[in-house]
Amino acid sequence: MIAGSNLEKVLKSGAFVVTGELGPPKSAEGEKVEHHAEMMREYVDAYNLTDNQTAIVRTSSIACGAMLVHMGLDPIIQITCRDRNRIAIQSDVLGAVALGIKNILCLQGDHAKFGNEPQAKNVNDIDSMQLIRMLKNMRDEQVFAGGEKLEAPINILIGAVENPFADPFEYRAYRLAKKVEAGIDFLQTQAIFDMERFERWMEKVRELGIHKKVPILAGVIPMKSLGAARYMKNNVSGMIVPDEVLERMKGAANKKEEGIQICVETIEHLKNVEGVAGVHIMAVAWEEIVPEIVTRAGLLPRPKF
Amino acid sequence: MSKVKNNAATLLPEYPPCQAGCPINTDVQEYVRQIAVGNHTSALEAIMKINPLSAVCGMICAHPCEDECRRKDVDGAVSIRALKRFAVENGSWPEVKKVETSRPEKVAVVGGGPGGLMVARELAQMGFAVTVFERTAECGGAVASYIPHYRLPMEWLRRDVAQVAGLGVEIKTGTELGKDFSIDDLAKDYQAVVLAMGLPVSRAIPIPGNNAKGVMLALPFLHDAKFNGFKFEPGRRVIVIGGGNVAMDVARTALRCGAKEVKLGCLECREEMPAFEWEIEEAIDEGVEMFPGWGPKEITLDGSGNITGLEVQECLSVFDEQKRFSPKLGDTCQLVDGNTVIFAIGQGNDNLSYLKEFGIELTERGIIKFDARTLQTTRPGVFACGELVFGPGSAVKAMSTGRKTALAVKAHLDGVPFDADKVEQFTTFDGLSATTIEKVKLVERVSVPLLDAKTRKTHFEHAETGYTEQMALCESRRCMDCAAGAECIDELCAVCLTCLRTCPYGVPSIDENGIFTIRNVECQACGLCVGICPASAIRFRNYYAQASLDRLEEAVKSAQQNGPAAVVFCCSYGAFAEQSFLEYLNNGRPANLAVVRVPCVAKVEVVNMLQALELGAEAVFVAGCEQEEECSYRDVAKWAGQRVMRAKEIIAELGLAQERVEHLNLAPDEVRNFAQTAESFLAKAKNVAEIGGGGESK
Amino acid sequence: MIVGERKPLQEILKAVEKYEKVLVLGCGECVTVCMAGGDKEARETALAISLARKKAGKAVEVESHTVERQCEFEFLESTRKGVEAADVIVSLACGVGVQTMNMHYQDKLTLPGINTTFMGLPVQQGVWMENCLGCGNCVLEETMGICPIARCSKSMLNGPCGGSQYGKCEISKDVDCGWNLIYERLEKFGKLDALAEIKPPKDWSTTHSGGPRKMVREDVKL
Repeated sequence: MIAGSNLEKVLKSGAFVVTGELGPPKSAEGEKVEHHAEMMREYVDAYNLTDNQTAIVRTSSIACGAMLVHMGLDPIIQITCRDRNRIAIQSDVLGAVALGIKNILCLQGDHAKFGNEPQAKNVNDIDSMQLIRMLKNMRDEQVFAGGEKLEAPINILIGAVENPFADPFEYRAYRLAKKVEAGIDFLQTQAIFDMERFERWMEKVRELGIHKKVPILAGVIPMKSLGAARYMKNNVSGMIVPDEVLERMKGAANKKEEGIQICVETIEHLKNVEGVAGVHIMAVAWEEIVPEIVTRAGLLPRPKF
Repeated sequence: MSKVKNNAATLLPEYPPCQAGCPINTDVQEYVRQIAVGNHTSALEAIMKINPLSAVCGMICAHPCEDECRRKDVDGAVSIRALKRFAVENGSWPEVKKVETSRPEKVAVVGGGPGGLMVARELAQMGFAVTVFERTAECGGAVASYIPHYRLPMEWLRRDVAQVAGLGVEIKTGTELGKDFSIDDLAKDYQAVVLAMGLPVSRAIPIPGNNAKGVMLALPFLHDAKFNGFKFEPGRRVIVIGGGNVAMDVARTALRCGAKEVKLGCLECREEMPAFEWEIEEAIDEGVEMFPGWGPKEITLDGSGNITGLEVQECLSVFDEQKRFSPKLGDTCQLVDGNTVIFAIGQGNDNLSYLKEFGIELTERGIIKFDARTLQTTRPGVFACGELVFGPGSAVKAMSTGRKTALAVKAHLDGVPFDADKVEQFTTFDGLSATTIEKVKLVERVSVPLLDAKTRKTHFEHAETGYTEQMALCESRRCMDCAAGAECIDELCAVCLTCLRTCPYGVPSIDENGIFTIRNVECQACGLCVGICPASAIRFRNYYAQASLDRLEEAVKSAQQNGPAAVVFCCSYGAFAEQSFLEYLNNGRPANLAVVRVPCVAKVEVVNMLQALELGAEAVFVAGCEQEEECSYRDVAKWAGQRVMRAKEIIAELGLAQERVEHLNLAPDEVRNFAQTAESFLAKAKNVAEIGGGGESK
Repeated sequence: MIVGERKPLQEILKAVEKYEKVLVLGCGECVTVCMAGGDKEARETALAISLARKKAGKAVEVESHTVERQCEFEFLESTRKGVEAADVIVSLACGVGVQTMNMHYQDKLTLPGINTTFMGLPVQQGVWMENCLGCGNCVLEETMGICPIARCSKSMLNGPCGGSQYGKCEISKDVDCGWNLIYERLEKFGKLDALAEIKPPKDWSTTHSGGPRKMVREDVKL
C-alpha cells in the first residue's frame, strides 16, 4: 500500500472501481458538500472534489476533502496548475495530507477565460506533467521541487487525467505513457460519448502495455437534458459528443431517463473493455442521480475493506 | 515635365522613353495625361510649348515616340500621335501674343519649312527679331508643297504658321535666295543667317526611257495634284518607282487623280520598305498593287514613244554588310504593264553653286559643307539646319535640328562658343521588366478611325477621321506614367513591406542582396502604396493628386456657404474626364457639393476623408470608376472600400454616424447622370446634419 | 517586433479633455510597421481629436509629429519645440516610448495613445500574432523553433493539454494549439520521441517575474 486509501484498496482488489464527483458550491455552505457526499455513500469507492472547475470560484477542494475525511469517506482532491504556483501547491499538498487526504488528482486546468473570473491571471507556474513528478518526488524522494528535503515523508496516491478525445489523437496514448513515467498511480479519462474513439485509444494503450502499469478509470457523464448534451458538444473543448447520441436525446420523450439509460449502457460496455479498471461518474449538477446509475449498471454492492 | 515636382522628389536623370524618343523632346506624358483627365486645352498648351507645328504633327508626325513607348511590350504603344491630333482639334488655341524684342540683333531664316519655322520661333521667343524668307507662296516647306491634302488638310498648317507669325516673326513669301537676294544682302541687315531650304528637288534614275512623255517626278506631281487640281486622262495605268513615304503619297494621290490602276515597285523587299508601315497598308487597302524587291531596268516605249511598261530586275539585297546602299541584282527580269511612270526615289537639294561666291563652300556632291558641332557653314554667322544639311527626314526631325541651331545662333550672337554635342541629350531608362508586363491590365489600343478605303480613295478629304472623346479618353488612359510614380523616402521608410505586399505590379521589391527598393521605373502610378504607407514615406515624382487635395479646405469652405456641405472625392479618368462631367462640375453642380477630382481614387487616404469632415463637411463620398470594365488599374475598388471602412470605424468611435463616409463604384452612365447620384449624396448629407452628428458650425 | 493597437478614441479624448493644446507624437519604428502609431496614424488621431472636439464645441489645437524612434533620447530632443508648445502629449509609441518621453520631458505629461500588446510578427498583411514573451531563457531549440511559453495559452512545457482539438487551443478557434504545431514539426523531422522527455519546471526568475530586467554591454559603454 502506498497511501492506504479506500480507492487504493479497491483498485488493488481487482474489483471494478467506481468513483464519483462532487462539485463544491459557490459558497461556504459545507453542509451542501456533506449532503451530496452522503447521498453517494455506499455507491462509490472514492469522491473527486473539483478544484475551481472551469475556472469558477468554488469552495476549495482540500477544504471539502477534509470534510469528507471527517465523514469517514475517501476524497480524491484535485489540484490544477492554473491558480497556484509551486510554492502554494506544495504547501497545499502538505496541508491536505495533514488533514487525512490520501488521493490527489493532477490537472492543468481550464483557462480562466471560461470561468467567472476571466480577468484573473493564469498562473501555470508548472504544468500537469511537472506537477505529477513533483508529487512523486515529494513522496518517494522526500524532496521539494527546489531540492530541499521534506522534514517527514508523505503518502499519497497520485492520479491524473487523459483525454482520448483531444488531438493529436496519435499522441494521446503516448502522453498517458509519459504520465505513467512521471509517476501516476491511477488515471481517470474525460467523459466518453464517442465509444469508437475511446476503443481506438484503448487499443493503443494496450499495445503500449500501459493498462498493465496503471489502472484506468473511464469517465462517464449522464446527460440531464438536450440542452446539456448540446452544450457539451459545442462549448466544452476536448469533448466529442457524436450526432447519434444527440439524436437519441432529441428523440427521447423522457430526456432524463434517456440520459441515464445512455450512461448505464456506456458503463455496461466499459465493463467489457480490456484494460478498463473501473468507471468515474461525473454527474455534474446531478449528483443525486449517481445511486440510480450505479444500481442500474449493476455495480452494487461496493466492496468493503 | 520638370524633373523636380511639388513634393521635392529626387531628380531622375532620365526621361520617359516617349519624351526622350521625340526629336524635340515634347513632354508627351504631360499632354497625354491632360487629355486623360479632360483638360484638352492644357494638353494643347503642353504640346505647343515645345512644338510650333502642333497641328501638323498631330496629323502626320512620324511619331518616333510611339516606337519607344514602353506599352508596346504589353499590348501596343499608346497612340500618341492621334492623341496629339485630338488635343489640337479639341483644345482651345491660345491667342498668340507678340513677343517684344529684347535683343538688338536680327536673324534671317531662309526657308519656311519645319526647320526654318522652329528656328524662327525659338529665336523670337529669345527676344530676337526674325524674318523668314520663303520662296513659295506660303510657309510649310515640304508639308505645304507636297504632303497630300488627304493626310494633312492645309488649314491646319496655316493655323500653325499663324501662331509663329503671331509671335512677331516677319514672314516674306515669294522671295528666293540666289534670285531675289543674296547672302551679302542679308548680311547687311541681319547679324545671323540660317539656311533652311530643304530638299525640294525630285530625283530620277538614269534608265533608258526616263525622258519619255508620261514620265513624271514625285514632287512636281504632288504639287500639281494639291494646288492645280491635276487629274489624269482616262485610262492611265501608273507605275510608281520607290518605296518610301513620298512614293506612297504619290501612289495614293495617283488614285485620287483618277488613275485607272496604280502599281508600285521598289528595290527593297516588303519588310525593308522605308515607308511607314501604316502608309503602306493604307495604300494597299486603297488598291495600290505592290511589287517590292524589283529594281527598275528600263522604261519600255512603243513606236510613238508612249510608255508601254517598266522592265524590272530582281533585287536580291539592297544594303551591304556595312549597311551601305549597294543593291545586288539578280538575273530574273519581268515586264510590268503600265503607261505612266512616276519616280519617287528620293529628294535632293537645289543647285547651290551660287552660294560659293559668298564664302559658303560645297562638297563635291554639291551639299553645303557644314560643321555638325557649330552648326555653321564655312561662312561665319551663316548657319544651316534641316534636311538641307542632315538629309531626308521627318518634319519633327527637321524641327529638332532647328531647335539646336537657334541655340547656336544665340551663342554666336552672345559671343560664346557653341558645341551641338554638349546640348542636353535626353536619355531614358530600360523597358518594362517581364514581371511588370504580365501584371499590367490589358487594354487594347484604340485604332484610329479611317474612312473606308473604297470611299477615301476617291477624294482628297482627310482620310483619317480622328478620335472621338470616348476613344481619346480610353487611349490616353493607357499611358503608364513611366517613372512618374512612386519612390521611397529612405529617411522615413520603416521597411515594413506593406507597399510590397499591396502593389499589384510588384514595383516595391527585395533584390537578390536582400535590399528593399521601390523600382520607380516599373511603377504604374496608381497610388495605392502612398495611401497605405504607414510612415508617409512614399512620394510620387509627379503627384498630380496633390494640387486637388491641397484645395480641399478651400473647396469645403466654399461649399459650406451654401448649406450643409458634402465632399466627393472622385476619379479624374474615364467618364469623370468627359466634357459633360466637367461641365457639370463647373456649372451644373449644386453649390454645396465640393468635388475633388484625383487621378484614381487609390490616392485618397483615410486622412483625406477625416480632413474633409474636420473642415466641416457633413458627408464624404469616395467615387471611383467601375472596377472591372473601366478602371485601368487593379485592386482599386477593394482598397478604396477598405479605407472607407476604416474611416467609418474611426468616426463611429467618435460618435458620428457611419453613413457620413461612403464608397461608390460608379459605372460610366452613373457618372454621366451625376446630377441624380449627387442628389442622393446631398440628401444624405442633409439628413445627417439634421440628425445631428454633432454641433456643426454654420 | 513590438505590436500595439490604438486605444479607443473615446479613451484618448477623455484623457485630453481638459487640455487645449495637444501634440500627437508618432514613432517611426515598430508601431509604424504594425500600423498603430506611425505618421499616418498620428495624423489620423490628430484629426480625430480635432474633429471630435469641434463637434463638442470645445476648441483644441492639435499638432502631430513623428520621430524616428521614441525610445531614444536624442530623437526625442528633435521634437522639443512641439513638446514645449503643447499642454499634453499623446504618444502613439509603445509603452517604452511613452515612458521614455516622460523620462526625457519630465515637466510635461506624455499619455499613452496605444495599448502595447505583444512581441510578434505579421503572419499576413494586416494580421499580427504574438510569438515571444521575452522569457529570458530561450529554449526554442527544444521545441523545433515554436515557443511553448508564448504560443501555448498555458505556457506548458509538456503539452498539449486535454483541451487541444482540431489543432486549435481551447480558448478560441482563432488560436492554434502551440503544442500541436510543435508535434507536427517534430513529426516532420522524425523526432517525436523527444516528447517522451519530462521537461522540468521552468525557471521563471529570468522573466519579469524575477524583477524588471536590464541588459548591459560593458564594452560599448562610454
